[in-house]
Amino acid sequence: MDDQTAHNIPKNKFYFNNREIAMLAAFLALLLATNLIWITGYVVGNVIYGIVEGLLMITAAIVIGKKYTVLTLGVARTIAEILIAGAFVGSLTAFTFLINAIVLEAILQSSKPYAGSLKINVAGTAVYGLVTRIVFIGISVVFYGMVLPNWLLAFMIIVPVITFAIGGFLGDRIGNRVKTAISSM
Amino acid sequence: MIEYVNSNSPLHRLDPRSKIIFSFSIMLAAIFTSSYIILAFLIIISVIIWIMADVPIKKLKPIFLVLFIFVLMGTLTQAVFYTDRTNYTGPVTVLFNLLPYNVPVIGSLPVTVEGLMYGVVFSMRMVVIILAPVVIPFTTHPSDMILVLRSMRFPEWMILLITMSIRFIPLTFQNFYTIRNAQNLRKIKTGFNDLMLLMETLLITSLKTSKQMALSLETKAFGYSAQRTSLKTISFGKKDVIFSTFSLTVLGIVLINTGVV
Repeated sequence: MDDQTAHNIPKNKFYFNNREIAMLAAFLALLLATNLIWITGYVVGNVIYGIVEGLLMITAAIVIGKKYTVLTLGVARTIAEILIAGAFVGSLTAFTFLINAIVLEAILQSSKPYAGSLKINVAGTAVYGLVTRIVFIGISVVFYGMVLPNWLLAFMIIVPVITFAIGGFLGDRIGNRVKTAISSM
Repeated sequence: MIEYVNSNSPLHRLDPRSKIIFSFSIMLAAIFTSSYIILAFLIIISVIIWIMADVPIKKLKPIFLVLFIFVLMGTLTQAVFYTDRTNYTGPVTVLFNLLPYNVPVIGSLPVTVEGLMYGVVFSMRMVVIILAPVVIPFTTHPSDMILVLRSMRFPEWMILLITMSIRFIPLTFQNFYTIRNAQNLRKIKTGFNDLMLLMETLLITSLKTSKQMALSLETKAFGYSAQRTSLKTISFGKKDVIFSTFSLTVLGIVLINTGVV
């Protein structure tokens, strides 16, 4: 192809290319499907949900490997939860996904390459878990008027921090393996 | 996961934006009020809208289950914790203690009359907050929702991302069950490593499918033009204006009644 012909082909107008958009869609579907984990009950769900969500977020960041991956997933998930999936605990709580994503994105961007450090990935998902719970409880207390004692609030915040961090650790392990497998396909 | 129910009910014929206005108006009204009467009024409105939506009862089973759990847990937790907070100054009428003795930090978890009354208000609020927004995915086809996002000037790739993820969800479950069945054929019990393997296989299978989707996007030259057209269109008609006005009037009445405005 000569220079003139190459110049005439318009470049892709979006930040993510079609391959990355399709992969983001696959990750978003998996994240939306994680809502069904709550069927197992509050106690079991609280543990498994954190692990799976943390794992998926870090795996997405590693596999796609481009800045704003987590933020894009957060924005898309918020819209999908509000408009399409029907957030069961009130549409306001769907905004937790957006706020968490902003925090995790900021943390992951501190490592070079993006999501390339195990320590930052684990720390990022732990903070993600912390923010998830604080925002969720904040909305439940401030807007919905729920009253909870401090000891229960502390328990509800500490458990996700641990489970999300485990998810981040596993995500780092799986993410790199999946990335290798995908690139060889 | 809530699925769209095909019908020709008045709710189905409405523009999705008017249903979003309804959902947020009713939710905001429920958040601002603590009156039994107003909350009961909002529940009645939501139920009427649900009846108009013509959604089969069997489809509503998961909603009823969630509502039941929220009502039960909401009433119980608030009955115990409402008077337990440090800034509570009102009367405390203990009915009974959940624990037979005083546990350090937790206490004896007393169920109070005041807490029970607040628990009912909280549960009623949660019923409204859950019932009102769920009407949207039941009565709005995903393609209409995509048109709403387009009308809100969302980028095309973001709209495509959400659309594709909806298409991916059933496929994800199908893949999950296939891998799980394959694992079950080999072993009766599955350990942690098997679950990790399941997750890894599920991810690779999903991403492999996404690669094929990306290829079809490329063949259709997606991304080489920011402008896209659609055969289907949505319009905010007279009925939508009436429904939105009704929703905003309900919100207005509640806000005036609660003294917010």
